[in-house]
Amino acid sequence: MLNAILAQSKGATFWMPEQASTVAAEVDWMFYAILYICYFFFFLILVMMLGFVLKYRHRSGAVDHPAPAGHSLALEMLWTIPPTIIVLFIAWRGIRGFMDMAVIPPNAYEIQVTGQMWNWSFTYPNGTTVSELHIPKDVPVRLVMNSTDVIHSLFVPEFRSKKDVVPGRFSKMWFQATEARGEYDAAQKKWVNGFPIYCTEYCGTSHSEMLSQVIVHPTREMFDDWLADASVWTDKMTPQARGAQLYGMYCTSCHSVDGSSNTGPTWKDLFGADRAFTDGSQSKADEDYIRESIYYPQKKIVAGYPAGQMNSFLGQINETDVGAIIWYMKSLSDKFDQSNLPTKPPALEEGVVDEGAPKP
Amino acid sequence: MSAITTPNQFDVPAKGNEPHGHNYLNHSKGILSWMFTLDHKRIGLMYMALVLFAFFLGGTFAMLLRTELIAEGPTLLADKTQAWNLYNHMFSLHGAVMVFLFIIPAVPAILGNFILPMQLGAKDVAFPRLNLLSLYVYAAGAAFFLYVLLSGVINAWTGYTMPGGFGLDTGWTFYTPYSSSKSMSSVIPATGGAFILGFSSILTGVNFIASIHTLRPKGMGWFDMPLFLWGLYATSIIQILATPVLAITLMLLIAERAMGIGIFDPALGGDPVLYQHFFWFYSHPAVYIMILPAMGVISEIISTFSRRHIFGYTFIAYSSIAIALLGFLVWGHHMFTSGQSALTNVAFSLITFSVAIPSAIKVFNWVTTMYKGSIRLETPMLYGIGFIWMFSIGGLTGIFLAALSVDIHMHDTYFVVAHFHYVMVGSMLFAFIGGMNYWFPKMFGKMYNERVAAFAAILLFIGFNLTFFIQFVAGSHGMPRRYANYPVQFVSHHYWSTIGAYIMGLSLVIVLFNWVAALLNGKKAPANPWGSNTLEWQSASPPPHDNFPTTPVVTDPYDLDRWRYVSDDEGWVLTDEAKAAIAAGTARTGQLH
Ligand code: HEC
Ligand SMILES: [Cu+2]
Ligand SMILES: [Cu+2]
Repeated sequence: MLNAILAQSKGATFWMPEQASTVAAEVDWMFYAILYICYFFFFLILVMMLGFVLKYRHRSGAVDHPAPAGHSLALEMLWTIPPTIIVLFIAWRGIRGFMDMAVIPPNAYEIQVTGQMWNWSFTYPNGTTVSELHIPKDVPVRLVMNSTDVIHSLFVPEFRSKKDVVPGRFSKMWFQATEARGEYDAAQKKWVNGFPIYCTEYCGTSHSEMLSQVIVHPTREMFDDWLADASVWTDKMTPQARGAQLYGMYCTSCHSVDGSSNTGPTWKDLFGADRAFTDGSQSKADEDYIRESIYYPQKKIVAGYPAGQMNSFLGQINETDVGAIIWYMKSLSDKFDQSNLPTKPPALEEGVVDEGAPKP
Repeated sequence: MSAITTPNQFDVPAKGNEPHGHNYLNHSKGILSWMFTLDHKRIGLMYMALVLFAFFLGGTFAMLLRTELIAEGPTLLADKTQAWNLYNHMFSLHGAVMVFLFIIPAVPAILGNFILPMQLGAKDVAFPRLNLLSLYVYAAGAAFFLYVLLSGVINAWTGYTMPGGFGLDTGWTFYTPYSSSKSMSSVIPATGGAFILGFSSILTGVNFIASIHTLRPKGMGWFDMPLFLWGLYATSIIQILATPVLAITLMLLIAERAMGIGIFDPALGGDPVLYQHFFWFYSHPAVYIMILPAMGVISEIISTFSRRHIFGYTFIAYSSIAIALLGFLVWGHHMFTSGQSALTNVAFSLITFSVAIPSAIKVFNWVTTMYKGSIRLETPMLYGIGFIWMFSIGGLTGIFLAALSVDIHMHDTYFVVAHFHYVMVGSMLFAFIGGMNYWFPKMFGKMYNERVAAFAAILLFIGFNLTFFIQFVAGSHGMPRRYANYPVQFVSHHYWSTIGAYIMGLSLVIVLFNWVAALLNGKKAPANPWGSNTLEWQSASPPPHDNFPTTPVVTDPYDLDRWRYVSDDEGWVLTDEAKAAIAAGTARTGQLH
């Protein structure tokens, strides 16, 4: 009976978002159980309080009631013992629900998560890194999370799951999605309609932009297909397109590509330009300089920008990808002859793979 | 009424008390007589000026940050990055100023300073010089925050960065390693300010504890004290035990930021979660520093305006102490998602629930006090009723957050924001303004306009609930806190919340306006306008320099039958029986237990 009242529909309710993980139903059960208990006590207090105000309101001219001291052990016990019992029940059930979230199934599929001001990246067992979390439905997934700078926190409301991502230690969380979600929009060339991921630990300027999404593939096979496809880019895109992809993954929160202001300098017309640094020195933005800026950002600080904001991407972005980023910067610069940009994916350049390019 | 009519109707001890309208306000003249005063009442008023100014600043920041959120995308500034930064600075300054400069000192330093010695029938606090020192320490701490604000404004206008940084963008919690290594804001000035303010708070706490121990008059045992004093006593315990931990924590943070000593930043070999333990070890008890004195105010108001003896006195008194002590054992509930062990989470969840019980005891005793009363809905009582509403919602929503499985979902969302605003703004602010209205006639000897005050109270109530109730719904749907921008899904929540904030702002302006108008040309207040039986009402309004010409006779503080209402001009006077009992030396009724 109680369960029938408290079991919530899987869709969004007035209080809660859609349920899309194995633990969501229990959290909602608990939430609504507490909610009804709270309604009861709140209306009890309100009815008594307002009832007394109406009933015992002083009317002008009326004589006041005498006001002897009052106390009653029985009453004190009445509002001590039942609340204690109720609260113990809530505590116990809350702990039980929490243990389900805390104990990670041994067979869970592992994905590594890196939080960084202000983006997420997800690395799969085969080494592929993407900026959105793709998982299969009905498979327990374990996230092993780390931060390269400050504390972040990964939150998926539909999964009722959240865990802080702390620099200097690995934190772990797990969930198992019960609903498939998200599709590939070929026109926009991106995945859309996944479950939102929020960063829920304040982490500076663009904390509110530290967003991503979870794409839940309906079956393990479809997930595996996606992963195989996502793992190779050299046959699908030009280096500058790959660079743009990496930019979207790691750099977009601080660097603009259209000349607008941001935490870091814009990349528009950056390549080949003269750079002035805070220590008074100067240099041209060539390949070496950009590689150095990515791996050792503290060596030269662009004049007018704060030091210490950009973290080193050493170990996170490999040399090939740095090369791709440099191509992308070249494609953004009027100082680079645009007709020199590669026109084909590298793997097709020598005709290694035949045309009929697979979907990106 | 002739000019020399004494406003004090209590003719036994007060006769001849101030025949020339002599009181603490005109006792001595000149700015220096205020700067170097040792009079707890004047110190209370100076605190009032400073704390209300801080409240005005904190409120302005709140209006700005709510305005940024009124619509999706950048609102106050066209440029995204700049708009986000402005928002981040606003919410950080709002939190830090409100917590350290307003909520913590408001009730103890203003109302407590003024009322505590008077409720003890004493001439002053135990250490008047320490009291003055605490005021100046407070001012010094506040100056640091002004520096932080100034550094932000200067940077925004000229691009120049003052030593220390500019503004504050770490949140009032100063979480590491963001605060110690990444933030470019004035973290050291701000934490330095909070460090100094802590000492002000400790000095007040020490003073109150000593006063309550040593200055209680003959006939006032511990359980004959007004409950406001119990609230202040419990608060003082927390202030002197917890605040040093905050001071040490902030010092360590400053050491790390200034000198690179690795304590919290993992890049230097430190542990950022350690900071959270230290911080909440103070800051959780600090929420009880904020609410316990407020609960004391409410006990006085509910009893007085219901014209009923407070119900369950001992239980309310003990529950204050219980909350103060249990409050030290629950800090980990702020860290359920931080990665502390599951066992730690379980323990902190269980202990957290235990705080619900003394809170429930208080609410039920207040409501029962109203039973069979003769309830007068004057403004302080409107705030009293508003408080019970707010505190019930704030307290009950705490149960969601104490329940582990639900908290994982709710943590760091607007659900938490709404919860603690119901407790710290709804409850504490209502008690504070209610208490200010309640004691205003005593402090200044003037009555404010009752209708305007009641209107403002109702408007504030509406504005508050509009602002914050909707935030529960946004939060449970996943809206994270401290977000300068948000998904379209939350547009209408934020819109209405901002409208509510404007209504709150408007009603607070009316409250202030009404007080100023009362100071300028309010009606003269009687000694006891509400018919309360605590000792401060047995002095004149405003009180003379040393409060009581002769030590007042102590009776049960809630024995309201001793007073009868005469007229608005004369207020409440002692009944003939009460006077006869004083004359016969049998006044002490001892009805409490
Ligand atoms: C947290 C913000 C942030 C992120 C994320 C970030 N940067 Fe930066 N970056 C900066 C800042 C601030 C500067 C300017 C100060 C300096 O030179 O270190 C900068 C400077 C640079 C420069 C030198 C620019 C110039 O004008 O000379 C390059 C190149 C660069 N970043 C590349 C990258 C790449 C590539 C990524 C992504 C893989 C990235 N940055 C991610 C903040 C960031
Ligand atoms: Cu964040
Ligand atoms: Cu707490």
